[in-house]
Amino acid sequence: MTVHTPTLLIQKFSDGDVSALNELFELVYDELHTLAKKQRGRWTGAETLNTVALIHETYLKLWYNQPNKIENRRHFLAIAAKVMRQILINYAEKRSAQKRGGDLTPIDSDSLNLIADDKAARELLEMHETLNRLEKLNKRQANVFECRFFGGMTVEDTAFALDISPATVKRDWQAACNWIYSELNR
Amino acid sequence: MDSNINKTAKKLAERLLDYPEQQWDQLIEDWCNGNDELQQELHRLTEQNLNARSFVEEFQKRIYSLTKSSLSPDSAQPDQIAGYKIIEKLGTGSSATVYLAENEVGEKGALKLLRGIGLDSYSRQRFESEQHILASLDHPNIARLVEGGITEKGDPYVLMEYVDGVPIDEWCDRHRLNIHDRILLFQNVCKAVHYAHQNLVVHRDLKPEHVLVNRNGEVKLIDFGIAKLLQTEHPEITPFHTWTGMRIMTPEFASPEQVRGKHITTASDIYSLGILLYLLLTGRKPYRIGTTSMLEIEKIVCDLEPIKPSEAVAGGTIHLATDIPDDFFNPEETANRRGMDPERLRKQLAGDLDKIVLMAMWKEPHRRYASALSLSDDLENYLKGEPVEARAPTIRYRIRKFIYRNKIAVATAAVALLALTGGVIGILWQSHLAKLNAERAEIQAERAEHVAAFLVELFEESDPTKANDGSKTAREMLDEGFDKVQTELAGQPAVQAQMLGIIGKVYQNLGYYDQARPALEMSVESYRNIGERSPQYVSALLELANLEYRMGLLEQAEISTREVLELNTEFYGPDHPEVASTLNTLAIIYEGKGELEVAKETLRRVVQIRRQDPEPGSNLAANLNNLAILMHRTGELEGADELFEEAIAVVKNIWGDVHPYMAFTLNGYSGVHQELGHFDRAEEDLKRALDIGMQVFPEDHPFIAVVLHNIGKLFEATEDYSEALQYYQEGLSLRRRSLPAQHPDLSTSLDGVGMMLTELGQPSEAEPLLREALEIRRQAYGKNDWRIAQAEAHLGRCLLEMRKFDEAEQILLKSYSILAEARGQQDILVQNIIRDLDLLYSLTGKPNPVVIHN
Repeated sequence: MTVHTPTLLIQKFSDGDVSALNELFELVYDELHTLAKKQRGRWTGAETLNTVALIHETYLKLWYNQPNKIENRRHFLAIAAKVMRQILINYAEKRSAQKRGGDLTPIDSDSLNLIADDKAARELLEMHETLNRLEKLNKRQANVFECRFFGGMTVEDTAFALDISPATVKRDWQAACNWIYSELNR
Repeated sequence: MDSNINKTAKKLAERLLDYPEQQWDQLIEDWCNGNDELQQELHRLTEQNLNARSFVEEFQKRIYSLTKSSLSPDSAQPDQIAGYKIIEKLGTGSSATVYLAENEVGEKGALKLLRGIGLDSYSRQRFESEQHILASLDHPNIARLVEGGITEKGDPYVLMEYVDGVPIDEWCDRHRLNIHDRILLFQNVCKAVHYAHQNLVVHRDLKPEHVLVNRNGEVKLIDFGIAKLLQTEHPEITPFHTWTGMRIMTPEFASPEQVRGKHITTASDIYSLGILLYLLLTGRKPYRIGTTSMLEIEKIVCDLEPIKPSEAVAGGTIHLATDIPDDFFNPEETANRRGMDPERLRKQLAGDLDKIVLMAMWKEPHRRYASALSLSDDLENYLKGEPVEARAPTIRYRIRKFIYRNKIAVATAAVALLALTGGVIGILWQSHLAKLNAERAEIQAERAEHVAAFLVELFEESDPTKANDGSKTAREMLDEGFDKVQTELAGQPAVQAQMLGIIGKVYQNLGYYDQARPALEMSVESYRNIGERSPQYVSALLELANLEYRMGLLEQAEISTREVLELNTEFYGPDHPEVASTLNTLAIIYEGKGELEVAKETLRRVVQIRRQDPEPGSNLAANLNNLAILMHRTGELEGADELFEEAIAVVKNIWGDVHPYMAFTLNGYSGVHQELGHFDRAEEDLKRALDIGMQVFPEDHPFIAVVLHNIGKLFEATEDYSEALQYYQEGLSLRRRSLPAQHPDLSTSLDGVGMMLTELGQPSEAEPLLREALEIRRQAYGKNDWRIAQAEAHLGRCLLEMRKFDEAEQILLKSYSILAEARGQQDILVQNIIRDLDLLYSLTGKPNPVVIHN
């Protein structure tokens, strides 16, 4: 374990060290992956899903170590959602790459269980692309969507993270859902 | 399709988002009001919206719920775990399942299987050492940990003594335990927790489900220390929500430090014990939280003060999260389960039990009971009728909490109370901030945010949990803030103006008028400089007027208030409640200037405007109160009597019997009763006012001093001087603590005490007090003000008693010339002076120059 735990970095960031933010982003990212990798071996069954589970567990721990100061907490929340998105997408990308290259491998009993998850991975990637397009059209709507969907934040948390009113969050969330829906169901 | 309809429908569909879905159909019907085409279009749009959202939400769930289910891969019940036969499943949590298990010799136990927690070697080691500690706990009221280990699959498990019991709150209710017996039972819980604490084990998750009572009526605490055992990383954190919102720790029982993820100690258990006791006594939890929003949980647990248990059983409103319904509390049923009626229950809890429960529940760990044993001991004190150790919060603590909690709203609310009590009649404060024009709202909200953030920063620094040693005084905090605002906000004049206004209000609220004035003047000046004529400007101006009034600068106060009146009339029109408020303030200033008839006319106009308001509420009550006091002053006793009755009815209707306004009104009413010779009723009014005041205000609140003084006056009127002296002295010592040395109210108390001492034959003790009173009035009022003359008359009388004839003569004559002119020969004060002069001249043998006029 390195000395620079997320907790410590958040502390530094709280104390005004802005450079800690970038470091934090990378570290959170690494930490989530390392943990996931470390644990993977212990699980039988749906290992890929557990990766996501572990990422959530770690995310949660970060969540409980949010900075105290309001401004910093805002940044943290917004970052947390971005990290989650990045990780999920990254994971989905790897997974679909594996599958594409692995067409020839025989289907074993375990992978049967994973079909649903593959579908989810594909869908996630599609969603990611669509959201990128929305970002260009309406950044705030995309941000709201990111916080709610990937960050799992409530309307109030999102409003706080993005420094807008809850009413705006509700409207943007609806608008973003409409957009994603129509794009993905074309 | 008509494009207008299309547009309207889109707008309405957006607006619907502000309401819960189950209301949509009704709202659509209301809004469309028979316009079928619009209604159809709106239905189409909302259906589209719902479709899109459920598509996305389903998507999200698919990703995350798969995750969740993977955490509990075995849906089937295992036959055997770690050599134990599984009999049945007792319960499932987010990361653990509890089974009833049995070993080869038929001994039963509760087996807790923890899943989703892979253990690395460090964690495994810790798991084992923790488990050894837990296994060593040996107490009749704690369920034993039999053994722990790792299953073949690598999941950790613990086997505990199986307790066949029901949660303690349920057990108490089921057996209709009275308060006494509930406390006895609870003390057993405390002792068990204390035993564990002595063995360095913190429970971390105390709640009724973990405090069981078995068939023999014995308390058994289960899951001791298990919460910690569950953690694999970051042992200092106990997350109580998983990603999917499932709970590990119940937020309603979690202490602020737990919610914030800070270090957990035995004090966290004391807090949870406090909540448990609250629940056992009242049948309610002080907070209800169903939300998954961390921010909201934190706000509720860390910032909101719980209401007292005695208020809770009287049906008071507890703090609710936004997404949870009320707890449908039934006072009769609750009291019934404790074998009494609601009023008796309230009385039994009020006072000591309130204090004990709230002491255990302090937000700051170091303020709570030092141990579970001392909590139990204090309950013992209560049961034995001995004084309890628990203390009610001090005024400074409360003010700080109040400021911190309400941030921006603070000054407005606090001033409303103070203003009503400060003078004879109150200025009713209107929250201008709350009445912003819609188009301004956004920019104002942003500014308010800055202001709030600044305040938070300001007060966070003096948070005792953060400071190294004791906290700064409120005054020091404010002074620092005042400096900061002047320097750091120089580049943001609008924010600065608003901050100065708030700081000025808080200064005033705390009685620091010397600092309040420059702050408010600077605020008003800043607004004028940037040409802002907003409600904030009006608010600052009105605050300044309020201050000027209190400092006795009545001319300035009138000028400021007239400007406010003009602006408000312009903003809102002549019959608006805002205008009524301002007129009310103006009337108070007239009263201060002695222009009673003008004041009365102005107030009649105020009441007239209020009566047109379909919901006049509290304002009408205050205005009626004010008008009644004026009518009393001008001798219209019957009219005053009627208005007081009406005011009391209005207050009772809105808030019930225990409310600051009720206390204010009773205080005023007592004057009328006294004048009508109904001394018993007057005394009853005042004692009720005092009783309410003690309940709703901090102990040092100015209103308490006002009532104490008035009780003194009542005894004085009945010539019971030694009794009167006691009340005056109480009032004086309170005012000395809470008011600045030059405050006119202080002189009122000094005068009262001095007069009584003189009457009781101790003039030499009275003299310094009366001189101090006179000095204060000379500083506060204009040269020929009658109040100065009054103080002189009293000092003169005292000097006469001391046989200091020369000074007495001089001062009595001066007082006479002013008072006789201002109030006429028949005034009681003037008559008293004539009597004293008479005595003086007969003692000295000099000719009496005054008798001639008489």
